[in-house]
Amino acid sequence: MSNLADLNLCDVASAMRAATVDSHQLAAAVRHRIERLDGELGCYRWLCLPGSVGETGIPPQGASRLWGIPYALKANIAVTGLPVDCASKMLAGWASPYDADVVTKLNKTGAQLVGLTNMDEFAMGSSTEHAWGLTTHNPWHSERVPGGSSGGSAAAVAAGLAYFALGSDTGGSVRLPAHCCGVVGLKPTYGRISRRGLVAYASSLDQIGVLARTVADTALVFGELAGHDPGDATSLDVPGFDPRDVEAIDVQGLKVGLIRGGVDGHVSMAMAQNLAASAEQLRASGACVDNVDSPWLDQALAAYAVIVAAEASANLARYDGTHFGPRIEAADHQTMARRSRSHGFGSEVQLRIMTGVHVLRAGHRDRWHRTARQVRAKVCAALQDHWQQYDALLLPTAAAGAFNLGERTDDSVAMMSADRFTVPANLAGLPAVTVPTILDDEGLPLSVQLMGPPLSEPTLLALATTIEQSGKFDVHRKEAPWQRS
Amino acid sequence: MSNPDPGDLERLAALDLSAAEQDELLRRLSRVMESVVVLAEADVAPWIPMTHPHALTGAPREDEPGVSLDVDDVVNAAAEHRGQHPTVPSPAWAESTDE
Repeated sequence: MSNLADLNLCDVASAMRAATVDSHQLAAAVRHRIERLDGELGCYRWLCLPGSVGETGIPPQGASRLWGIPYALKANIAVTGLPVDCASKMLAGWASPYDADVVTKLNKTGAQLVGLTNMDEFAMGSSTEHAWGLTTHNPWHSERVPGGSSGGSAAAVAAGLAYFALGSDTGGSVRLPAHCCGVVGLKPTYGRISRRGLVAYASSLDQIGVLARTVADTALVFGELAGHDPGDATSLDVPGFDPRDVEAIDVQGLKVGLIRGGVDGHVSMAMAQNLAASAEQLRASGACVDNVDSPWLDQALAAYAVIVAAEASANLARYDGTHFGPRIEAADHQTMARRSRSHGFGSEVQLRIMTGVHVLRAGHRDRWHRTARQVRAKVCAALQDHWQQYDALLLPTAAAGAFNLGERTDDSVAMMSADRFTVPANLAGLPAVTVPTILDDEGLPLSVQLMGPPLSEPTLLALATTIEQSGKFDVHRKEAPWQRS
Repeated sequence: MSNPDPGDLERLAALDLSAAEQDELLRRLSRVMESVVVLAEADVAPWIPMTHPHALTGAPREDEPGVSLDVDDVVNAAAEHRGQHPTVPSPAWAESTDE
């Protein structure tokens, strides 16, 4: 694996500082990889292929380590003048008039935007199949899904079409594609990265997250993005994140709860073995790992399904043919809006809006939405109790490797069940990181997930580093299908 | 779940569906609601419904009411009024229909 596009972000950043590689070469390597693979993979909805940065292509004194690094953004993060269409016909032809806070921050680093990646429409899905006009394939197996909803971002990072990417995680939409595509996915503490400029899906759950090939790469990007944004009312006013904090943490003596109840019987044999192996790796590094029960998992998924639909139905009320996208003309405004929405939204989005208005309507609100919010409080309290004893919880990201394309597209319940292990972190606003571990018998990546109390990203990334270094996923990557073709 | 009125849901969702689309979405909606029925069995009595994972730190400040406008100024500035109460003018199409 000698191609520049396959090197890790930290390695190419160091090489540029040492002037052994320049940003023109990185851009050319990524451009070549896109030309070779994106026709098959379908990672990008919009390309603005990186050109050159600076005359020499070498970072100036004091520049960020992201200077000159080609990266990708999910197509629901605002970039001035680009078609941020959320993979929806409803936003066809609309260009953002402003930059998201994360884009402003990345612009300051000098990182190079490669393009906007494919996703499930308005981030509603777990497979990136509910996208208008484009299907993304898993780079490890072309007949499998890349996970979702940030599937384009994960596939692009995995196969060398970007060094890192940003996605959004409402119920697992960064971690699940990271799992399916064999990359690291970090969903930070709610509010730790500004959501300003992220198209809203479910506002109390949405969080921008990072996808990269290694834990160190992920920490580097997160360090550039974390911080308070007065333009986002939900942004946490806490200190930023320094990647060196991860290196300073000694895993020895950390207490990790291995979630068993609610997991056994819900994951494949390979995943169960994988989880046990990761627990052993942490024990071997001096961490104390105990089994813990999680009777709240079933209720958490149900509460999520209700809350996310309710918030989506409210957030998507703004798309009425007046301000955004195609308009189907009619004699009066209401008819115009209804026809435009039916024309613009795909069936999965329509279903979630219908579900949302159903659980919020008079006579049903207490039974469904209020109860779901009570369950949310109960789940948060249960997790809070865990933090009295444990520094982190170890659990699966998903039940098994990536499923087949088309397998769940007509079954929203089966699709959402893929989020079983990821939604608790969103309900409670907690940080969680997915780290790839092994390939299963079918050659599909498996991973584990670490979840911790608010602002525990350094601890989670330190534990993830231990698992990463104990395994050999980097070897699998060198033998991946895209290396052979 | 209790059978929802399809027309009612379609109106609330601001959608315009064919009969076949309506049937399909209702079938899928029923599946979703069956999957969350576990909520009905949840023991949640002591729990206060939770809206947001953390306290908001950047929320807008509390309103600071200023001095109210003079009632006569408000009434005189209104396009139409009935006594001391401003009223909403009738739309042009309503007037033409009356004629």
